[in-house]
Amino acid sequence: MVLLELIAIDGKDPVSFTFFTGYMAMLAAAVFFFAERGSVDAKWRLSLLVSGLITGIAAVHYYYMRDFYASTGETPVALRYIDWTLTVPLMCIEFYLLLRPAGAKTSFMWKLIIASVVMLVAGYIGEAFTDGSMGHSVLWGVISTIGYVYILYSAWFGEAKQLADASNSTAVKSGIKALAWFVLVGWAIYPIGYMTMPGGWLGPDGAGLFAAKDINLFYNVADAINKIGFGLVVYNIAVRESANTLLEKVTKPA
Amino acid sequence: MMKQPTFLFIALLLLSFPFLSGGLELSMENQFMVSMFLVFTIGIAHGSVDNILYLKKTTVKPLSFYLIYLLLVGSYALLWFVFPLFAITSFLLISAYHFGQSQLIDCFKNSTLMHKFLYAVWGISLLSALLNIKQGEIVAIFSSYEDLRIFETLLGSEYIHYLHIASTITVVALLLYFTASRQFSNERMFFEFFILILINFSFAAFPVLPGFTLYFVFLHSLNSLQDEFKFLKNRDQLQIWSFIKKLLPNTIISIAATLVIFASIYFDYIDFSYGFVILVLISSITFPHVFVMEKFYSPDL
Repeated sequence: MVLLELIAIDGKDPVSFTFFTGYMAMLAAAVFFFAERGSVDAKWRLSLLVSGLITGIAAVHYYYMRDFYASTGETPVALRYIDWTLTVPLMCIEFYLLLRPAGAKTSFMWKLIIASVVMLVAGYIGEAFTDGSMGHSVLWGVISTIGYVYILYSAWFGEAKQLADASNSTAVKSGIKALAWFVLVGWAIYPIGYMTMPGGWLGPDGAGLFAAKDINLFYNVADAINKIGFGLVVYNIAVRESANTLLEKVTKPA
Repeated sequence: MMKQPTFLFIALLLLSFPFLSGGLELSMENQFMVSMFLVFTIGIAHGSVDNILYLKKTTVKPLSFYLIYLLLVGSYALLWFVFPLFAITSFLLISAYHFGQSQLIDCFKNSTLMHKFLYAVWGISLLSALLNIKQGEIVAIFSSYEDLRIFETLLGSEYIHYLHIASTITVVALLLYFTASRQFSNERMFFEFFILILINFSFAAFPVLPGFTLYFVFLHSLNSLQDEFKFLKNRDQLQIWSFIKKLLPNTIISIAATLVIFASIYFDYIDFSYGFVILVLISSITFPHVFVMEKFYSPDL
């Protein structure tokens, strides 16, 4: 009975709805990526494992977040940031794994991880420890955005872009381009969500377009796009590259 | 596709999000100071090598160029006193074409009439977005200056709302058409949609002056400056510092002339408002600049 109460959702509440669909979608994606590991070439299995881990970790957190939200009606800030602290660096590792054949060094991976940690820790402090003052959310929001802009720069102009350009694989080139788009458009949904917080431009104190709880709607939609979409791009590269490898083996003279 | 100025525009927009989250409010004086500083430095600078660009690419003699250029500046300034409504309308239309051209010129090798139509509509969509989204604020600014009240009816017109919608739909339709006819890549089309959304978002999120300055300085002026630098670098192996040195003389002259005119207003030698004078100055130097850039971007030069 307690469990039934916990998982009861309000059909008219899109936040609650997206917590549930988000959980199921993440779980399904994780199963898919783990199952598909066997169908790609060995060198791409680690990438699919990481994709499976990203969506799997997110599925577990969404399981707890949906119940937390359903039972309290409040935003699960801590759970959200625990999820991101684990999954976003893994996305940076995906970038590294894809670009490793093109010569990416571990220093490239660490730079992205550090930038993502700056982005998340500052975002968490800004959101969870807010004292309601403008200075607090602005300061930590700006620090967080600097981390994000660094990753964005790397994907569009910096090391990631240069490594992709140097790669011989068209699948890797187009894949990195797709991931750069995810970082530009998909990740930009989070700071827009941030603006629905009390005092924010889109929130009840500003334009009044969204309620404070709607921050979850933005985050849930963004998570689904970025985590599952990100994984599908990686999967697509893995499948295309595996097919090329197979073709090379078949056509190679004995 | 994604140029450094565009990235800078996006990065600055993202960095401004926390300020919007914090509900920051800028006073009119601060908005004015920051916007004018950027417009009169980077904004003016992007037109300050018009003489170099034109003379490098044509056989026109320098004296003829300077005479015609100054004649156009003077004529346009005069137009504000003779036909003010025509002056403001044509200024908006000329600027619209110029903005669209600088945004989309790299998409096409040769600009056909249809492409030029797209440039104009893109710019109309941009300016009508600003006029529509910030109509109340703009009308309030214009009504605060006695010599600008004549434009209140035009800028406060309800038709601007329909113009914004119609021009945006036309831009979307044209981008889809050019993509379908393979003149545009899918990725470029999505990119342009994304940029249009960001521009509309920034107009809605910021007060009118910083909102437009963000677009004008970082997306338009820096973009043009980059194109100009690339041209001079390829042609004369010009380095960045030499390019900046070339920008300085006309930029400094323009700023100095503006300060002299502002001082004349301050000491009551001229009986016009700062708002009216800024409008006349910017439109008068925009007019010949648009012709120069039309030549600059044309492939036969």
